[in-house]
Amino acid sequence: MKKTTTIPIGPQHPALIEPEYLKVSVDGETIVDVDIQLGYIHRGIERLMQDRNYVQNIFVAERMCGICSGAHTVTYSMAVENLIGDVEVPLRAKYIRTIILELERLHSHLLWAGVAGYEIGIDTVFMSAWKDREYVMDLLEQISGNRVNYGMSTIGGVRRDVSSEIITKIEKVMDVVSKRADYYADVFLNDKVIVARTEGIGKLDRADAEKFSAVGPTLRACGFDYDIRKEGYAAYGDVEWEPVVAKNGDVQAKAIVRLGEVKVSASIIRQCVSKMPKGDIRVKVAPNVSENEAVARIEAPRGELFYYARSNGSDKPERVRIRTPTYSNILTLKPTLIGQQLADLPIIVAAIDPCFACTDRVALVDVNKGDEKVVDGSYFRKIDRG
Amino acid sequence: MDEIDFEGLGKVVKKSKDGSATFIEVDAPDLRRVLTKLRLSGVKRLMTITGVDNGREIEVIYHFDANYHIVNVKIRIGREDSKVESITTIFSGAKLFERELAEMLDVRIEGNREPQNVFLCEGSPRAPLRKKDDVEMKEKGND
Repeated sequence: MKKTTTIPIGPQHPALIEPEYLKVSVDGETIVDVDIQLGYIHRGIERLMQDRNYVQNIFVAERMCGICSGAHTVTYSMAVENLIGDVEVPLRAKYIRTIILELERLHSHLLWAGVAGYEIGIDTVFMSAWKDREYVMDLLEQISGNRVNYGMSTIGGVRRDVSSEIITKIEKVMDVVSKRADYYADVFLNDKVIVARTEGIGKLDRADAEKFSAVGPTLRACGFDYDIRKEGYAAYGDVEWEPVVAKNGDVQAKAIVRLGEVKVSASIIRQCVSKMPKGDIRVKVAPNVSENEAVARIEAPRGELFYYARSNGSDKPERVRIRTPTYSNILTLKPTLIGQQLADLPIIVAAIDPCFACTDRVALVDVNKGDEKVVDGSYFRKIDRG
Repeated sequence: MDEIDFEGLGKVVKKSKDGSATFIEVDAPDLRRVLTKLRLSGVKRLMTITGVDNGREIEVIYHFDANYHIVNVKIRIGREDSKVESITTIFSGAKLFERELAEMLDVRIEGNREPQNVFLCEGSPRAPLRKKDDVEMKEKGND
């Protein structure tokens, strides 16, 4: 007689940004197998881009993700600049791109710290981290006019300048955020409850991280010193910084890497605003791009974001291929979940920062009897918090 | 990681201006041999697989990360009865990318044990990234 029970989790959840479906097989409380199904929010953006011109596509790329919208526009712009070949992006524009990318990483990692706190049942961390995130969101709003889709990067530079008044504000906020990052790192390393819920939980082996093409903080939490920013795109080649690496590969390591990166980002932004040269912020480019192919990648908050673009001589791309970081990290979920407790599933899944966290409504299926019952989120939170 | 001998892998089509990417073209039957060689030379991470329908043939491009360098290996296959060999035994990370290539461009992956769709659900347009005849597109109301 089979001992396992299959629990379908997802795909629909009113609080989820991205619906996904996890079919989890458990033996008692222990996860023995997991099947991940994607595609519930597939919008056909790659196809859509073939019917829009290069400038319109900046705004399509921006809408790939509600959190890393800036990362998408910068990578798309870089891919098209590589296609054209002889575009010299002004230095000031490169610095502004770097500032936007790092502000985005700051708010994304602080958002993650809050979500992690929520998933392990400590709402104080959630509220506190999201409050601190607001300082960064306010800055982004002052720079770009928007909290989410900044509309900053364009082909050949950026669309808006950063004024000297805002630079003063940026410096102040960086001081606050650095201190708070230290505080949260201390909490994740020393708070007994958080340590009990994160240390040794959802461990990803070094070998599996490599085998399943992990990227970003998920990869660096397994001891790999690999950060695409070291390629020196935008202004990263002009500033001093080192990638944050942890060894254990568990949820705690992933938290430590992200919180460490908050401090690194704050330092990069400080250096950028002090070194930023005066000058133009964009160069004009012709609407048509002759036949070519090019690639571009950057380190988005969740890891490497990759674009491949192909032109055919017209003002519309022949093909744009986008590989987001979560798409690369999703295969690592299976080895991290197997052998873990069901109640740890939300935080383990959230630890790769996939934009989706828990679930409001699950159907429990007893495979032996074929019984099925639907429960709501309160049930899941109850077992999650023990 | 050792220096990669790109010339020994296939025809080097071009290098990017800043030297961060190399584009190589190989014959489709040589794909697995070339990728095994690439794997043995220390390249461990497949970044993604791109399929392009250029109207005459299907181009399949395998993008690899070679220690801050992007290696793009391209093969060309026919538009009729399109098929490529699976590379999951060489690069495990190819699992989802191959399934996506299959559903988006109607390319058969020989040897991928999980042939089901990743993104498209039942009733979705078949092979949406294939170039379609304009008349056919209008009839289906796809455009």
